[in-house]
Amino acid sequence: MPIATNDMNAFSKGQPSHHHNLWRKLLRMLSLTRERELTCSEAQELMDSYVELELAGENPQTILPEVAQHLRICPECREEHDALLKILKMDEG
Amino acid sequence: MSTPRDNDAWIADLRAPGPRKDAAIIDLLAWLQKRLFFYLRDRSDLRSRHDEELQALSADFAQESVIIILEKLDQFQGRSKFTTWAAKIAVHQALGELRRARWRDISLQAATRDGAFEPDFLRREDVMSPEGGAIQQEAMSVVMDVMQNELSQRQSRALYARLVLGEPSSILAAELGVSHNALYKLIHDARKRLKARLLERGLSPEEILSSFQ
Ligand SMILES: [Zn+2]
Repeated sequence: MPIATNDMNAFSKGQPSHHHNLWRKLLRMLSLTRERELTCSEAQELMDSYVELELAGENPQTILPEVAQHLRICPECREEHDALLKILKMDEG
Repeated sequence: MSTPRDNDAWIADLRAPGPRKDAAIIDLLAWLQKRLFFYLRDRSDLRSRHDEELQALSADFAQESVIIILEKLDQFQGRSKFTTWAAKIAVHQALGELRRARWRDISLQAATRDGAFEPDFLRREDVMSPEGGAIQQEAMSVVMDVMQNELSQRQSRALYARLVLGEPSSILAAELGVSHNALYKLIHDARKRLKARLLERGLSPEEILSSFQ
C-alpha cells in the first residue's frame, strides 16, 4: 500500500502516532535545511557522477556534499538515486 | 548487448543515420528494459503484478526514456558512462510515472480531499503527549504560528501537500502553475523561515528531536 494512503487514513482517524511522526518528520526536515541547497534538477545533473563514485567505492558525501544533503531532504530524488544505484549494481553482480 | 560501446561509440552510433542508429537504439532499449524490469520486480508495491505485466511496463518506460535520451543527447557531457547517464534519465522518467499513477489511485480513493492546508495538521495535543514537555510545546507553537501567519498560502499548501499528503512534486507544481524549481524554492524558503524562527527562540530542531528520547 502506498505510504501516502497510510498517511491519509491515519490522518482521518487521528492516530496520535501519526501526528507524532509528522512532527518528527518536520523537525528532521528543518534540521537538514541549509541556507543554500541544490534544487532537484541541480542534484539530478550530478546524480550519475554521484552514483559512479559510490560504485567505485569512493565517498561521494565528501566529494559532492551538496548532492548528499539534497538526497537526505528530498524523498523523490532519494528514491531515484536508490533505484539508479540498484540497477547499476546489476552489472557488477 | 551485441557490441559493447564506449561513450564516444554510443554518441556516434546514436547520431549516425540509418541502420547504425537503429541498432544502437535497439541495444539501448534492451539494456534499459532489462534493468527497469529487474527494478520493478523488486518493488514492494508491485509485488502482486505478473512478470508479463512488468515486462510490458518496463518496455513502455524504456521506449519513453529513449525518446527523451535522444532529445537530450547534446546535453551529455561525458562526466559519467553513457549508460549511467541514460539509466538516470530512465529512472527519473519511470519513477515519475509510477508516482503520478499512485497519486491518481489515492486521489480516487479520497475524492473529497482538496489539498487545502489544514492549519491543525500537527494536532498539538496528540504530539504533546506523553513525552511532551515545555520545549516541544514552545516549538510547536512557533511552527503553527509561522505556518498560519507568516508563510504565504501557497507555501503552507505546498508544505502540507508534500509533507502530509505525499503529493508528487510534479503534480503539485502543475496545480500551483509553477515550475518544479520554483516549487522547490517555495518550500525551501518556508523551511528556512520555520527554522530561523525556531532558532531565534533558542530552539534548534536537533535539540527538539533529541528531547524525544
Ligand atoms: Zn530532489
